[in-house]
Amino acid sequence: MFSFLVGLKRTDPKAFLLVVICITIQLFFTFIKLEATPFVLFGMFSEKVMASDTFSTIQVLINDRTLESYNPPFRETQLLEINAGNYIGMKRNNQNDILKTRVETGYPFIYNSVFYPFVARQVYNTPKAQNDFKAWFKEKCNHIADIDNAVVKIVETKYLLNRTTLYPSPLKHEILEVF
Amino acid sequence: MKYWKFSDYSYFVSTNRYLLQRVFYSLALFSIVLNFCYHILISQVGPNPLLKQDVDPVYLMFMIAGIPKFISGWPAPYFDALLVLSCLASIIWPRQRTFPSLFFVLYFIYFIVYNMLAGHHYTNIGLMIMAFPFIFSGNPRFVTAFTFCRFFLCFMMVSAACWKIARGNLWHVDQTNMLLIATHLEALVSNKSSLEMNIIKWLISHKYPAHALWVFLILIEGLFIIGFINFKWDKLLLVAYLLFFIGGFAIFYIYNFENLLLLLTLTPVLKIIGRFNKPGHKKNFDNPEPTTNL
Repeated sequence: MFSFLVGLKRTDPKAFLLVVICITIQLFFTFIKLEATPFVLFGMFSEKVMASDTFSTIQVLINDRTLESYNPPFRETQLLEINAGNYIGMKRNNQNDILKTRVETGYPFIYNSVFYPFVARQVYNTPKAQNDFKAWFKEKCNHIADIDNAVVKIVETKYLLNRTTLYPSPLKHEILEVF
Repeated sequence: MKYWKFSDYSYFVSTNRYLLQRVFYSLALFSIVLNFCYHILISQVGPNPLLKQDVDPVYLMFMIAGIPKFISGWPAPYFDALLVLSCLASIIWPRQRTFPSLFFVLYFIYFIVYNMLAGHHYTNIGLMIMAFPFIFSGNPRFVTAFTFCRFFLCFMMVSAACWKIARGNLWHVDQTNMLLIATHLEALVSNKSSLEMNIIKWLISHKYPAHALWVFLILIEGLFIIGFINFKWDKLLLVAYLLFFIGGFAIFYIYNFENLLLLLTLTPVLKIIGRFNKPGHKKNFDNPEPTTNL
């Protein structure tokens, strides 16, 4: 890398400057833990997970069958399950965007700025968007199950793992939403 | 065979630019076809009203400009078609700079909009990063950007290792155990029996071997630090990355095909690509002469 930078400085100072700026920004953002694409943080799976025997999942059921039983592509399954989780997260946050709550509680200088009302209107998901989400989500599920009007449920199940048999027995099963 | 010096590397990249471009865009096209099969092109996902923006300024700018709502609406099929066509055109006419530039812009938009629609900001930015060097018309700038992509690959891996080490993953034996259970919870509930599940169950009930595997994956990431120093160990880096990719996918369902494209910047891959060039040029790939001005 050293010979790359030395050679670049000699032959193309402008490109050298740009490369140095990019490296500095990436290192600085990594240091302050700010993600600004394409300066991405690569900290996935690094957060410590504490040992526990209870686990919970949010699942999507189409006509009381799991999403996986319809064999959708791997990435489409991920997309629907993550979106279901986000929807429930917003619902549990009194229909407020979680980012909005984070900004308004943790960043008063942004919240009190003159631009905030305009930016807030554009940036956050609204309760109306949450309502529209149901139709979009149901349509996706109908498509996967190849059914015209399926009953779609988002359910949360809490499990207790038996460390000997490795079987997670359900502790609590709750239907969070029915479309 | 002697290992490459930096001047050899830049000479090779410079003289095989069009071949590299064709290989890269063919793989990019393959990745788009895979996305089509996974039903995750913008027109297939559709206009999800709940967009994931988070605190990333680029995503917030996209929200303010209303780009995700617009792109995922009626223009979505045209957008996808344009993405495919710009990729195809970059393969067919490698001397034209317009198509790679168009592809880069479209793919950048696709990447951001898809992540917002998908509800999660994925870090599979390999394809987007690798599309960047091909927008330059001058060879020296192309070589610089291409070489920079190689260092980006090394940084990505080393940075991931540093995050895990800094957060104490090396000594936290429960990390692998908990991640394995969380990843395979549904398979455990359904009591699936397969070779893969038997291995996973064994790893869950044997904390220490499972943790050793996790530490091995961290070491593989950390190994990429030697990629900053010279090209001597590129074969090792290639094998290490492939092991990391296979291990990550098989055990933790980490799937990022797009990042595999960064492997194009490693010398063993470049040598393989070089074999497909004109026979007259062939000897240069094993012993390229240092004629570049870099």
